[in-house]
Amino acid sequence: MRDCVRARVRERERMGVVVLQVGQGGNQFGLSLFDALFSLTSSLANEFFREPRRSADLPRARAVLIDSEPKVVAAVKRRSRAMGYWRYGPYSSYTEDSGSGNNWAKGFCRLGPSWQDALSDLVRREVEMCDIFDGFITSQSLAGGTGAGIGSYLLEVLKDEYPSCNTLSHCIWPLEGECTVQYYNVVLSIAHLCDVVDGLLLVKNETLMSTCKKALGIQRPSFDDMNTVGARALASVLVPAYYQTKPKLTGLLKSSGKATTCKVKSSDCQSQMMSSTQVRILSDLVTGLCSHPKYRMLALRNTPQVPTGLDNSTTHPWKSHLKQLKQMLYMEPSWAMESTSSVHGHKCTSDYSAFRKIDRCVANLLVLRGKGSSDADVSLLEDKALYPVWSKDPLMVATNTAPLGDFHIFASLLSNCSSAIAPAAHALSRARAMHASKAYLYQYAKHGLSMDDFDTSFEAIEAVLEQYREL
Amino acid sequence: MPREIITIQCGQCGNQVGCRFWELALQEHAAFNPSGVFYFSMSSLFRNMDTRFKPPRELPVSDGISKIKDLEARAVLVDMEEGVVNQLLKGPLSNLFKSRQCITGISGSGNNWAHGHDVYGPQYGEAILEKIQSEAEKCESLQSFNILHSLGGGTGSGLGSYIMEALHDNYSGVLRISVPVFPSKDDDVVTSPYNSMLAVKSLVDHADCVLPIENEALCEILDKMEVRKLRSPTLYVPKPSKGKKHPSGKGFDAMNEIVANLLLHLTSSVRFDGSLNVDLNELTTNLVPFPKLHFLMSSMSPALHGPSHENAAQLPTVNQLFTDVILHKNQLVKGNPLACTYLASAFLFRGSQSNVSDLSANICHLRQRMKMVHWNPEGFKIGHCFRPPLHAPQALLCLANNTCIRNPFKRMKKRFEKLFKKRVYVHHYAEYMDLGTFALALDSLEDLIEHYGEHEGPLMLRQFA
Repeated sequence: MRDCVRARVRERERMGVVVLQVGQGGNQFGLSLFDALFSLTSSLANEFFREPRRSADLPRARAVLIDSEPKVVAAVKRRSRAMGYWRYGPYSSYTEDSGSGNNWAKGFCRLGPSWQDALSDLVRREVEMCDIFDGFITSQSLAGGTGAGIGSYLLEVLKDEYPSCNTLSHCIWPLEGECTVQYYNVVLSIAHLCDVVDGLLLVKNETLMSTCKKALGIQRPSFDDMNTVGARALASVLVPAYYQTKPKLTGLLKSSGKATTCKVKSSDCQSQMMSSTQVRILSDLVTGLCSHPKYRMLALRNTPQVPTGLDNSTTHPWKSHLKQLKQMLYMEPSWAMESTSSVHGHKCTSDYSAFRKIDRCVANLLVLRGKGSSDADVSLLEDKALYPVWSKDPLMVATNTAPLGDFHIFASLLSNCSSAIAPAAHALSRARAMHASKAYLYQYAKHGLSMDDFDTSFEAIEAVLEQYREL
Repeated sequence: MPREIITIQCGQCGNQVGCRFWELALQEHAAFNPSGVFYFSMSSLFRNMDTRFKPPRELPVSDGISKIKDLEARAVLVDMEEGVVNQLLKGPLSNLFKSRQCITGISGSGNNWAHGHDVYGPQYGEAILEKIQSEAEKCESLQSFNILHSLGGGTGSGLGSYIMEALHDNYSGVLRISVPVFPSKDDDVVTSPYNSMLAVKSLVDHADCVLPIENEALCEILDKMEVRKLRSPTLYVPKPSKGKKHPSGKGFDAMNEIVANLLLHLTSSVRFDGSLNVDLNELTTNLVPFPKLHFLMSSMSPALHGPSHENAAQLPTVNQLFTDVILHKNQLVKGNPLACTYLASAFLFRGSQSNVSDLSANICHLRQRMKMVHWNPEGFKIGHCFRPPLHAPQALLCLANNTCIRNPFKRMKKRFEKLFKKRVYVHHYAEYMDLGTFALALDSLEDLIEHYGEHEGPLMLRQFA
């Protein structure tokens, strides 16, 4: 039995995930993500890094960097080398000089197809360097032409080439006023991505900026600051954590083909690994969080934002954090929370009135890190009011007693919930207004996107919004 | 890495503006490049040549660590008089341009658009295209043609129009950005209303993006700087040149410097790193919602930045830059955009002292004062380039597609009709072209004014209702 479990543990250690960084935003965020994945764990996360051929060399990120202009990828590679702990592979990037002009159609209809072969080869090379390939995580912004357009095209291609692998798409939602045509690009992207990825995690730049200002006290946050916050949040659900087996979860674990084990009593990492099943975020998306094909939108919440010391005075350190996570679910959709105190000085109003105050969730993955995490009382998040009746075993809990970098205690909640799609309602209404005035349409038509294509995308988004409204 | 921009300077004004542009470009790159390496950022505007070979061999950028040997500008110089181009070829910039990049005539265009377009166009068109072809072949990924010309005379406007049309036919995939100087009301060329009207039609039909400049606006900017200098003597104001002056008395050098700064700022994101890069094609995607409405109002703060000795406390803050840039007094075309409707606008920031949260916060404040078109209330594009301009820690360029651009066109139309009513000087044009061209040009201008007028709207609601 123990040999069998050890073999399974070794198998998990050899799992590889390939991160695709597309466009300026995607590449800048990807750099922060790998930095977080490296620095927040005590041992090398083999899923995301591979050992170099020569032992004297630095570990290589399992990443493919793609952009339609060369400066950003060059800068990102330079910065990874300068950090000196890990680096990108020397042949793992593809750039051209043309730029995509913030035009989704140029990215999706022109550049994507013409780069398809080159990108396929590049991705395949990286995939083949994984002993066992788990799937893709993409990092892309939705505002422009490259991350949004080429990113969407590439994911469609990869869905065909790797039909059995899973994909999580980390999408950066732009600030207001970042780009005039951003609502078109956002709507077109989400409509296409919904069909091909297993989970779509939308992260608003506004949320990250607000977190930097309020929680971290950074008055004038830069993109680097915002990316650090976002990367830490994502890394917190990607670095190793282990499911807490409770009787009601065994059914779920059995169906996903993982071994069921005894309850974890020991807080020792080694025995954790040996007796619990590790979270495999990409597979768990399909089997757990996003098992229903019509519900794929994800939101990520975490606490705290600033490292707190070990608090020995409180007997229930986890209680306050879990309460805070629950509160985040019970407020207005988290996007609206930012807008009430945002720099924009105005509220987003009626677009969100369609969504009830409780952020209803199809499923949640709760990841707790730190001492005592395995014994934390998670009943707050098992509240039936959060979930629709048809959702079986909606709460998955994973823990790791090891701290997360400087954070002695850290709680993340990855939710399949209605607030994840809320910003799309606003984007849709803006896109429809522009479309009705035929503004910019000739730019998209030039590259083969017609008014009908827009209509199809609008309908697709409306359908997703409707699904989540019914929750 | 190179994403090249070819500058085509046409006519006397175009070449003078171009001359100032290349001077400042060299200074800007030299300021950040004390070791004289041919960086990637230089390859957009320049080639690195090894002149020991005959013909000189181009040294590729490769890994960006080779030394500068001999720089050549990616430019084509066209003029139907020899004076200005010859001066350029003999002056301090002589090494930048080779005679194979220049086309000159002798007798000029007589301030006649038709002479420039219908005579010199066909006559020199092939040779000009050959020179452009030769420049384009040396580019790995040509991004745009920047055309510098004035619309009041004959060469810049007439031959410039011809070149624009030829570029549209032969290089349809490459952006055509025109930076034309519109004639002022006291222009000393009497036929300037005809020339500018005829040239505008060509810009409507064949340019992707036009950034008009009015000499009157430049003069007002310089006036205000001189007033400021009285209060703050260390402020930089360019000295008036010894040569020909604008009727207002201002030296053309100073006015050209403002336009040169505009061009450098526009291309800064293509050349240098930033947190939000903005290519030239992104500008056209974001700022041109309908094909013909591609005339942008530009403004900069500060408009000029020379080596001044203002202390840090006196330098404008990023908030002040944003407040200033939308004021009518800083526009490079006379008009008040705040009184009219914005279809879209771009704010391109240079400098590393501020970051995206400052830019975003400022745009949010500006929105309260700007009248946005109803279908695009968040019609903004932000750009951030880390590299500041020469002599200033930060600067801001605003490009706005605003219905206020109708005003210079209305003025142009009025001046045209005043002359054309009496058919004054028309016989000079009849010598080279069919007079129906005037009617077509007038129709085109009226259409443009009407189109912009359709988007002039009431104050729009700020809520997302």
